[in-house]
Amino acid sequence: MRPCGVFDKSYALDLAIIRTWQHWVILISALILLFFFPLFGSYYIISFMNYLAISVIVGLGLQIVSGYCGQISFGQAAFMAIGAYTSAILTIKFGFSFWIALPLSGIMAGAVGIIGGAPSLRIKGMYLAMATIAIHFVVIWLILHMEITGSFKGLFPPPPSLGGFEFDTDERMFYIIMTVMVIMTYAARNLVRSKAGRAFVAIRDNDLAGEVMGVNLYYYKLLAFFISCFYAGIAGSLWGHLITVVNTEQFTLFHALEYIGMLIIGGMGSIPGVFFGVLFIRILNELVMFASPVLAKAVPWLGTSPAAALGLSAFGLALIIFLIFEPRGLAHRWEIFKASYRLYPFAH
Amino acid sequence: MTQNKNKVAISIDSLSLRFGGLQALNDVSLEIRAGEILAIIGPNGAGKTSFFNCINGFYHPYQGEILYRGKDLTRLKPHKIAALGIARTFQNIELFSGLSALDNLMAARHIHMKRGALSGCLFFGPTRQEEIAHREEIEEIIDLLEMKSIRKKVVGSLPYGERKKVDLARALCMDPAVLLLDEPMAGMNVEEKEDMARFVLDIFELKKIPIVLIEHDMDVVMDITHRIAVLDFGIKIAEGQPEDIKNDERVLKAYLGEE
Amino acid sequence: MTGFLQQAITGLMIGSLYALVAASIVLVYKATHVVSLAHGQLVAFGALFFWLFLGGLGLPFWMGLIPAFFLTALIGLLIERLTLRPLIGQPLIAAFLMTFAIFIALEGVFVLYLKGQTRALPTFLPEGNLDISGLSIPINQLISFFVAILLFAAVSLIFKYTKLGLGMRATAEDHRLAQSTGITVRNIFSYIWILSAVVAAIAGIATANVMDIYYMLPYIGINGLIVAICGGLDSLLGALVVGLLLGVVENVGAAYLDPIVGGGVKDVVGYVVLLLVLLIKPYGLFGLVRIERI
Repeated sequence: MRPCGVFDKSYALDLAIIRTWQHWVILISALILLFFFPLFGSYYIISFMNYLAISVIVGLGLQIVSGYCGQISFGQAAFMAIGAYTSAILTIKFGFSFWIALPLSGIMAGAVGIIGGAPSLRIKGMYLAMATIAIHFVVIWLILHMEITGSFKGLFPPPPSLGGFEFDTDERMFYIIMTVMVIMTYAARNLVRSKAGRAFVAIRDNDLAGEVMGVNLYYYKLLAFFISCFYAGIAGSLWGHLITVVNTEQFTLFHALEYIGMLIIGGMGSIPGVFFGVLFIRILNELVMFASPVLAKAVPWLGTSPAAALGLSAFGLALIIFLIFEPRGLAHRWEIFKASYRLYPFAH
Repeated sequence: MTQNKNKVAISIDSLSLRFGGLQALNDVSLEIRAGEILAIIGPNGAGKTSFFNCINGFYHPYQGEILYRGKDLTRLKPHKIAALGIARTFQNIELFSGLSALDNLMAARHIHMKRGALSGCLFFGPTRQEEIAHREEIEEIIDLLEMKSIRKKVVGSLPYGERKKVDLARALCMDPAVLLLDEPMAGMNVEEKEDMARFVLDIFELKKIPIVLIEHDMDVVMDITHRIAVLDFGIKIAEGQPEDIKNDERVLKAYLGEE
Repeated sequence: MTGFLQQAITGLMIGSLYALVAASIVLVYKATHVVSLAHGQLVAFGALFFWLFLGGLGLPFWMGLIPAFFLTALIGLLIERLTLRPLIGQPLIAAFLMTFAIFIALEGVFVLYLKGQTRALPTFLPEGNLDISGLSIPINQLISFFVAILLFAAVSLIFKYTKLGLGMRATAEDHRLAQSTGITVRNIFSYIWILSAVVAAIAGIATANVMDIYYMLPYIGINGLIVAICGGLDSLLGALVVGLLLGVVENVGAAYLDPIVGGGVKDVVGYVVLLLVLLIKPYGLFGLVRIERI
């Protein structure tokens, strides 16, 4: 964000994301506000924000591998499941503390992600997308057929605790989730503007030219998958300890489609786009939830509980509309806004 | 540089490449010398681009070797060859279309940047300084090729001539030891061609690296190159000074057909 | 041995359904290079429409078949006109994602209509089993198997010998070139979607003949996609062979592996096969390999 009349006097300034002291004030007060939010937010809003933040973490990971590196992955829900199960197993069966299980579940998901990303070394585009769908089903199938994962019943991980303090409510978990989300966002934003991020985009835009520039395709594709799945694993772990239930119903192919949908609506290849996409989809879903009882009363044909089906259709329609009319997503609108902010108070 | 002008930079020995039934290159031997601009000419489909693709590792020839600094390049991957200092441009401009011109050039600094992904996430201290240091290097090349005005533009939206320039700048940003240019002047008007020819000469003067270029425009080739090799149907039919090539019978035959 | 053969034959019957779904996907790919998951919904809606006319309204077989084809073709046409045509010129992956979006949107409608219930088609094919030396094959499945084979032959003939087929093949090769030789590429796109929707409807009716219509029926589209990709996407023969093979492998694999791993092998065999094929032969078993030029 660069307001009118602010010029870069050094390359360091040109690199900066936040350019003026006003922006710093806004950012810091927004962060402070975020962390005092549970004091005045209602329970519904708090748990909704937890849900949003976890979705953002998953979305950030997917943005790195799909939006930046161009490897469309439908496996994100499965890798989230790996994180959730790893964390649950480590805390329940091996007595690890949550604070160790959290990073370990990210690493575990990342490691499996490297195996899951291996097909990307040979195939790309739609073929890879189908391969990740296959990986999704294979992973979920394996989870269902293992002893240690509790099969269909699932697992019940305990809430985290720190020095006797139990994070057993949504308000308390809020602090952990938000802290993790802020750190992960910071890391993702910086990653994509550093050497690795440019290598990812090089692979997305022109992999052969990237290789001629010295980008090791194998290494960077697998790195993208590792990072993406690490994010998914962390989100999965948080999710499991937040709702203290983990089963495969929470990680279906539809969830994976939802994350891709968030990127399409938010904008591929943009970190703010993840936030826009998550907000859009989740709020759309909430609106459908509220609207469907009313609709069901007005139109009896819909039956008594049309919420789930209507949610599907609304999501699908939103995707269709965005793909046709704004394929660059809401992030593109944001860029237009930033451009006009840069010029304000002038029109052009 | 003090080294002998005629020292061999890359020596290519009886290179042969085949696609199915098509013999793309047939027993091509060529030396690229340290202090020269070498042109490779030939009719369409003569195997010129395939020749480049062999040097930077897209294609692996079934026979022959490409010796560079005592290493055979024919079995190496493109990114390894890039790290050895061989840079190239492309006939059809293969840019990273979603990035700005500046980021395209920064991406080309890839092999020279040392900080890993994790420190990239933190973007603090040394990583930031590294970014800035490389930015300074790049600005020199931006100055050299007169592309200040397009620095922050997304390259997908640039006009053809500018994109050609970005392509050349990107190869230069790799700080190469050998530069391969694949039709740098294709599709340009006279003015742009003159600019491009000037840039090629500037680069040669400044960097003192061997430049190999594929080009169809004979005027340019005769003007700026020191030596010319002619390919036809995958076979090297002539090699020598521009003056000799101009009068070589086989070359005339390849271009004009047999009487 | 009889056990194995019995499993294999049951697999062939199921496989012919997969092959049909895959054929409808391959048809669209051949002319437009769009890989479509939306066909899963065309299959489901084809079956649903047929049920509506046959079971719901009690119409005779042919009277149910024609409007079912018509309505499914209409959905196919609408998909092409409204959602895929605006994407012409964008990367193909956008069209691929679009078909996912269509799948989800139509899935909502499908679920809304079914309301958690199942629908069973009334019997319209002869019942009973054909017994050959210890093997028993349900006659209605045998009929749909032969219908599938005949349909494959018919579609291949259309592609090979009609003017329309020639136009489709030319369009598949290169849109712009086809346009400049006087083929109206847009019309070809519409025709191919209509043809492919009818094939999908037949696949749906054949599937509903074997199992009830329920909310998971559209997911046969994923199986179809697996078969189409393994077969090489542009090869009808590939779709047929791989479809039959997948049916057999699934069934035989389930019969022999289920006791070892504790069930559910059928759900995952297709995906494992897909992964193996993509890793070993990325362009499918019958597909053209494209050389990347730079």
